[in-house]
Amino acid sequence: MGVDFELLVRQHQNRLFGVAFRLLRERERAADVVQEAFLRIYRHREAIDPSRSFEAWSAKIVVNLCLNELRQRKRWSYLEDEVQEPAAVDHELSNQDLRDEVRRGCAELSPARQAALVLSLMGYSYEEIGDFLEWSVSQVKTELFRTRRKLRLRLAGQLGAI
Amino acid sequence: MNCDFSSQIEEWLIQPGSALPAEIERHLEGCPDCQSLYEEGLLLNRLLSEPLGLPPADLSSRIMQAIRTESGQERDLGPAPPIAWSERLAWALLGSMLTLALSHLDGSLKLGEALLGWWESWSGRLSADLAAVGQIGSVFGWPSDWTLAGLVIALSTQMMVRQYLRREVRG
Repeated sequence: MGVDFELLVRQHQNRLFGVAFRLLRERERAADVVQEAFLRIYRHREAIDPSRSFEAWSAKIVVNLCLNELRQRKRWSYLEDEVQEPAAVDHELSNQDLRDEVRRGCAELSPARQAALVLSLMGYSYEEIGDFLEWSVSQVKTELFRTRRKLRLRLAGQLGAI
Repeated sequence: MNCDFSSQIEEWLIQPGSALPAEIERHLEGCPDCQSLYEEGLLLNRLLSEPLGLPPADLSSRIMQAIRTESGQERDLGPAPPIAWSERLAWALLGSMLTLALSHLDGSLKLGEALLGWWESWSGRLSADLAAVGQIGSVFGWPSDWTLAGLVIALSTQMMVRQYLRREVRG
């Protein structure tokens, strides 16, 4: 094989699973995406460049697979009632309520904005996020600022409604 | 919010890997707007960072199994496995029979002078027959070397028949 794939899988699967899980929020689908990503890496193993970061390259593949899945979901989401509107606020907000509110806010974002948000919190740099999403660094910053402000205001509205 | 620090706070909240700069920390104590921005931002980060959990325990074995299946398929597309001698002989016989059949298609099957006359013109037709069998073989994916071996057998057989007919018919 040239590359010790078993070692690569062991070293990187948890990190890649983390990216996929945070984006898809489904454990089994995230695992499927990681498996598919490693298959693609295997098929293009000649392209593995020791001078470039395998971490960034593999994450980019996972992000792209997740974006495809999120776009598919968004395309069909009008048929589903996946994101339930909350019942009237007549009780103290729990962390779960707030988390659901943020999820609803995220579900309204484009898949690429969702990905930017998640990746930034996982410690990926603006440059890396820009590379994954094919955005310029300034676009990454602008989108993240806007997205976060939107979610923060939504959250503040929810907190203020108590 | 018009505070100069707000964009710095937002930027730190986007990637809160390092410690909050002391300058911002001091500012937060005296600026309620930035304080609320900071707290809401931290809450948002906490809510967005869902607990990860571990991947399925069998994930690495699933991945390796998929890779092994993939590499097995690649090997299947590689060089053909060796052919058994019995199979080689069968292909050779098939090639020779087909060559003989083709060379008799428009020839007389009667023995004697007519056949000998046909044999005389046969050498010119042989190359066409060989090419025809080669083409048929390639269409059906026969191992070309062993089909050709069959053609050689056919040629040898015909040469022997020719010698026999010369001896028997012309004396």
